[in-house]
Amino acid sequence: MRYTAIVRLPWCDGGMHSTTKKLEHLYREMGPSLLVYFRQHRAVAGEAEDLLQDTFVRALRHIDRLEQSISPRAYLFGIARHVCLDALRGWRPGDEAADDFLAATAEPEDPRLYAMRDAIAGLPALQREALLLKLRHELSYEEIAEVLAVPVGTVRSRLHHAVLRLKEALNPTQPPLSSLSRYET
Amino acid sequence: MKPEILDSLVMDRALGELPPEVIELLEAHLGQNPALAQRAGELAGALQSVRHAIMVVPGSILPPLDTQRMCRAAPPSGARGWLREWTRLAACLAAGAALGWSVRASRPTRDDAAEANSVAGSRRAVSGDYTGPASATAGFWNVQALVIARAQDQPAPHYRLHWTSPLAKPTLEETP
Repeated sequence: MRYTAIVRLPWCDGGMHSTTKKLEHLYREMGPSLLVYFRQHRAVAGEAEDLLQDTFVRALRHIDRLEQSISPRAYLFGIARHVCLDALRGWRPGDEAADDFLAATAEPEDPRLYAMRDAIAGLPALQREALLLKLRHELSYEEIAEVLAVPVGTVRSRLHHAVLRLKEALNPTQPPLSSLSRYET
Repeated sequence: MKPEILDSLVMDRALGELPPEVIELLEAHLGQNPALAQRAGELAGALQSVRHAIMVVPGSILPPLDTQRMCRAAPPSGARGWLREWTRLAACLAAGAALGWSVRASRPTRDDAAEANSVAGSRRAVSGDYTGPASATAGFWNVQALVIARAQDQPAPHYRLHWTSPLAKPTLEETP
C-alpha cells in the first residue's frame, strides 16, 4: 500500500479508503499504549485523551512518512513524544518529574517494589525514558532509536547502564558482572 | 570473551534482543561457568522486577477517534488539492526562473569584459592605481576583474633588444 500526498478521507467525503482504514486500525491497536505513554507524564496526564487525538492528527498530516518509517508503532511513539514535549513546554519540571512514570502505574502489592520504583525514579531521565519504552511499551532497540532520534548503539548503552544501575541499587554488595567474569572466563 | 561483551550479551538476552543462535552459544558458555550463569539469572530477575514495578493500570477505555478533527487536519482532496499542488509547482518554477535571470544579469557579457579591459587599461595609463573590480561587474569580484587587478599589480616588463649584427640572431633581455 502506498500513501500519496493527497489524502481523501471517508469521514469527510464518503466511501472507504485504505488510508483511513489503516489509521483506524492503528488507533485501535496503538491507542491504549499511547494513552499510557501520555498518562505516565503527570503534568499532561489530565489531557492524555486530547493529546492522543493530536498525535493521530499529526500522523495524518504527514501520512507519507508513516510508510517510510521502520515501524508504524515507532513512528507514532515518535509523534507522541513530540506532542508530549510540546504540551510540557512552559511547564517547569519540578520534583514530580522524577516519578512521572508512576502516574500510570498500579499500586504495588509487594513492598519491595517500592524500592525498585525509587531506584527507577533515581535514574537519569534519558535512561529512564529508554527503559520505559523498552519494558513498558515493549519497543525494540531500533524502534526506540527512531522514537528518540538517536543511534541504536546509544539506546543499547542507555538501557544497559539503566539495568546495571538498578541492579546495583538493589544489590549494592554484589560485584558487577564484568568484574566477576574477568576471573571466570 | 571480553567481560564487557559478555555483559552486553547477557543484557541483550534479558531484554529479548538477542538472535536465537547467539542465545544458544551464550547458554552453552554460561553452562560452563555456573557463577556467570547465576549472575545472568539475577540480571534477568532484576529486569522482571522492573517490569513488575512499572506495570500499568489496566482497563482504561479508549475514546473513539475524533473524525471531525481529522477532517479539519486532512489535506484538501480532489480538484482543490491538485490546484494547490500545481500552484506550488508553478511558484517554484517562477522563483527558479527569476533567480536564473538575476544571476545571468549580474554575470558580465563579452562586451562588458571588453569594456572592463579598456577601463582598466585607461586607469593604468592615467594613475597606475586599481582599487577594485571593474564597474561592469557591479562591485563583485570575478575572474575577469581578478586578471585585470593582477595585471595592474604587476607592471608590464620592459625588454632591451640586442642585435649586434644582421647575421647574428637578435636577443631580448628583460630589464627591471
